[in-house]
Amino acid sequence: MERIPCPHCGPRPLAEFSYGGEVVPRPDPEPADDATWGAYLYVRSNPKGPQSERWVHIHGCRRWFTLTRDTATHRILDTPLRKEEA
Amino acid sequence: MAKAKEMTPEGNTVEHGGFDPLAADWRDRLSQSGTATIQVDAAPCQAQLTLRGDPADPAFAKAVEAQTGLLPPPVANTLTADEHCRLLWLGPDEWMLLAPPHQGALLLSGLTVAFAALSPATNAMVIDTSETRRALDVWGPDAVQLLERGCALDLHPRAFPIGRCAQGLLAGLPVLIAHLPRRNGANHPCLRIFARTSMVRHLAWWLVDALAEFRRPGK
Repeated sequence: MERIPCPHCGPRPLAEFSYGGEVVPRPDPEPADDATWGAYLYVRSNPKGPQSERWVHIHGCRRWFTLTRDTATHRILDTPLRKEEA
Repeated sequence: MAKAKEMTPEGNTVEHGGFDPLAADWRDRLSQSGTATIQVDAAPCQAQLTLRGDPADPAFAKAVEAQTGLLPPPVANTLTADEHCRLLWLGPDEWMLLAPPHQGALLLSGLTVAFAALSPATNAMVIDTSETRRALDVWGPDAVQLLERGCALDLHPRAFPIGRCAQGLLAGLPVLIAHLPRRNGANHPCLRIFARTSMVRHLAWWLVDALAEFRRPGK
């Protein structure tokens, strides 16, 4: 089984994690028009290659983190950040 | 229905909010399933308090130590313990305090008062989660082999020595496993597995089923 490096618990099986999708910067909601907000909610770049994405160690320490994964090879390209925010 | 109240050094074994999913018949079933090299039993019911706070904040750590006698374990997936209580790492700002049942209410009120007295800049909370989880103990030379049938965590003593704990999946259930030096006063280490109270019988069934393999001739 593929293993995901949790920044707190170390490498753990994929089954312990949930996927949170691509990291998308949140626009300031006040000046944002519908198109900008709609794009934030629904539009993803879906790259073939490295992608910065959110994961949560849902059956472990239950903390969110960000890592970079190659979507074509599933190789994890960086060590996840230890902070809660992306 | 009158039940014998068995006092142990760790706590009373029959009090668990009035409902114990691993009551007498289950304890018999589990103990009869044991083999020469693996034993299984319900763990003593204990008070479980969830603590949250910033471990780097000395005021928080000091308040926890003053009330429980224990400091939050500094390393992820480890626990600190004395003869009464254990403090298990659940997350970078979250721990589970295990205490004898009769101390649960006292610790809860003591910690609540101590945390309320901290400055507003210090984040700290405590909540009673005693009914959330029920635990099973597995011990014996082949205990790790048994759990490996349904758990991807490396539970070999070289990776999971006494004093380690970890959350993961066992038999499809989210569990917390702790490697304890003693069991119920008896002087042998055990793996204590905490599962959700509503799902712990699934785990008990699974253990009974998995043990059958170890009772085959030649094993």
